[in-house]
Amino acid sequence: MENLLLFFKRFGLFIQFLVLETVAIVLLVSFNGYQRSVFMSSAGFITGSMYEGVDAIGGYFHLREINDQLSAENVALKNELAYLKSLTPANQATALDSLCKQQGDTTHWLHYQYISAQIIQHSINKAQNYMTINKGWADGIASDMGVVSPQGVVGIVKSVSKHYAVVMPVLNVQSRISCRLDSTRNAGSLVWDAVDYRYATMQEVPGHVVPIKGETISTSGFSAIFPSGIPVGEVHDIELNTEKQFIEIQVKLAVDFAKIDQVQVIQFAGYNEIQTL
Amino acid sequence: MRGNVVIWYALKFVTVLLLQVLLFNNIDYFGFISPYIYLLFFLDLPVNFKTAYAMLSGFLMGFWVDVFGNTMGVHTAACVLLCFVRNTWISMLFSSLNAQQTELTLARVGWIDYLKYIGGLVLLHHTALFLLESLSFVAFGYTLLRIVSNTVVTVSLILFYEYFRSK
Repeated sequence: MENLLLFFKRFGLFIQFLVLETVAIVLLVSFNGYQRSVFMSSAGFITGSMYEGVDAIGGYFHLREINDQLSAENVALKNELAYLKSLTPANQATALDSLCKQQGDTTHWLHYQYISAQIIQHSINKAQNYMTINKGWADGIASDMGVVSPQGVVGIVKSVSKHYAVVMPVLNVQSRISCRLDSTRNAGSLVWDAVDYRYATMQEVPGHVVPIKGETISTSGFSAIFPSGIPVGEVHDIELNTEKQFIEIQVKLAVDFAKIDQVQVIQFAGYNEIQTL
Repeated sequence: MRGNVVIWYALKFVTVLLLQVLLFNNIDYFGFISPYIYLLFFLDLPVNFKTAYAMLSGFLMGFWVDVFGNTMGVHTAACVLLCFVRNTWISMLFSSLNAQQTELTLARVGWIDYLKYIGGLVLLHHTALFLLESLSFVAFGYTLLRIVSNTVVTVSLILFYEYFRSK
């Protein structure tokens, strides 16, 4: 007994150190999986409402940029509307049909709904970045929903609380988004190497494909998370690998993650049905 | 410790934490530099503050920074490590220090010794932090760059604060 006390007296601090570090590492490992507990995250009640309060103050400084983005999007939508209105009813049906065929499916566009949300916290300087948005399951958000901004793909919802949700953006080394080259329709996966927040890499593109510099890369629509045809970025550089049968494309991301503020979450009516197949 | 001292440190804990997560976490240079000024809390603890309590406070502080930043476990582990070696580091650097119950301040120990004191601890913390954060995902050279550049920024900001406090 005396020896035990002596032992603790001598090594007590070291044991405490080991115990605390073990708890920290267990937290690190167990929270690293895809589905994380929402309570110990930025979407928790305390953290979420604090971020929302601070964002309400900080938000005023970006109003001008957001205005510009929204008006640019408005113009694009009005042009599309004017084009559709200019068609005769019979032509309208075929135009819509071809618009949908162009995206790979004749009816899928009807099943997608957009929920507007605001980013109240985000980072770009880590290997695993996350975003917090101010909408949760009370607003119809569920995990695995796609998140886009007027510029293009942002990320995928990871966990949801009542009023907040955590989004895993493209800027996270665990993120994988199915995308394709617009010219050749070759599909690949978009991943991030944690170096520069403006660039990501498109992998698994067959070696015979010759992408054009500057051409658009958009979502493939294979994953049922994003509809097809949402811009991801453009071809910046191509890395030819003679040993492998694949090429790697450096992608300049369409979304400027340093300035992002407003996003839309995509609700896909058929998601659960597809998952249970 | 007297009650009002405990309350003083509890207030400082909350203030430093909130400043870090609500203000300094938003600072972002070139997409990879972000100062971790919350280390000020551990650096400013009294010299004779028990390591056992320091490690507990490090665990709590790291835990909350992790919760706010969605980096569960990373800051917790780095802070506990910093607090574990803090007293040993102090006795190594300031073997002649006999002032009890005092903080190590810039005015008291001078620029060079103070820089050694915070530089060593911040570097240790940032090394653990960025290695754990990037795990095996990121190229080591890039992680090294992040460790060094972030250490420089954090240390500069803490020195800046200490300089004006000592005025």
